[in-house]
Amino acid sequence: MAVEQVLRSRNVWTREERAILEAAVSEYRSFDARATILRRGASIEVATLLLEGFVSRHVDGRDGLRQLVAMQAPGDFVDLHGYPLKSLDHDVGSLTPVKLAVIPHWKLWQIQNENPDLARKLWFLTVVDAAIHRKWMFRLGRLKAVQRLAHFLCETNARLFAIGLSDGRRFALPLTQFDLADVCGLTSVHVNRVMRELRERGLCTMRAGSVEILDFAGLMRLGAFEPGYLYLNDDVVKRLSAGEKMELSEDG
Amino acid sequence: MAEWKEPFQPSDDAGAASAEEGVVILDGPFSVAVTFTPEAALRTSENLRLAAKLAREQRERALRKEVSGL
Repeated sequence: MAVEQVLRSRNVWTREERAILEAAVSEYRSFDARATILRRGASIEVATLLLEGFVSRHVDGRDGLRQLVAMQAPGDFVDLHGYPLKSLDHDVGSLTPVKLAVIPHWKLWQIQNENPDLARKLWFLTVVDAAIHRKWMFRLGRLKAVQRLAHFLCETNARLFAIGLSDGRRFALPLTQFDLADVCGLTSVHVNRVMRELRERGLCTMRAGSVEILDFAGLMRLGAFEPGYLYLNDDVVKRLSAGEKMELSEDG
Repeated sequence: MAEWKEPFQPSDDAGAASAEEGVVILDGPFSVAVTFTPEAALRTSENLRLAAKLAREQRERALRKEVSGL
């Protein structure tokens, strides 16, 4: 996807703002799956917008165990919080092959000074990231294993629906069982069991990198999911809740 | 808004243990989600049994103290 297309799908930006952001891109970078894009503590002077694929923010423990603390989808800024922080307290890695658009921090500074409305929208994105982080903490701290996966799948469906990469019921999620285990704080065997339980309950099936939700309302109930913390546009939430199916874009 | 409850009260529900692909999965109560090797599961069950015995004794001591103090 091109920058303009990715930004358009999110329906946050005006045409002029999309043009400003596209003009701010200095280069494009591609990574294979399972590459480290940014290391914790490294000095950074650019922000990256994810155009294609999935990216993780993760923290590695001293025991070598990894915890995924966020997953970014196309249209997300991967490291906008690095603009004021100048380095990250976590690693960023590609879960799939990815394409990124790079925007230098000095251009963000220029936007901040010349276009406060656009700067406020960029700020909005980072605080939505924080809202999602809070929900991920809730998920790990309060939900049972099967609820954690149900919640994650509902969240991913809603986020991908908002950018046209889910039709509301089906979406590509090329994550391994190990990735899902890292997201949910479970072992891969436990994830396997939970996936079977979701299938047996008639809520959703997962195979070959794709998810099919059979009963979204039931999956939402089980996962205690409500999409308010994603701060999606009202019309997106209405269409999603109503079970409206959407035609997928070519990239979907 | 849901009624606020004091977090992590002792659970009166037992965790559900199951065997899966040669390991033991403990599910619940609350957000407990642990996978053990069979050996670790056996050691954990013994630790739990001993701790439960001690906890019962603590309760009984506390009850005796309460009754004798009346």
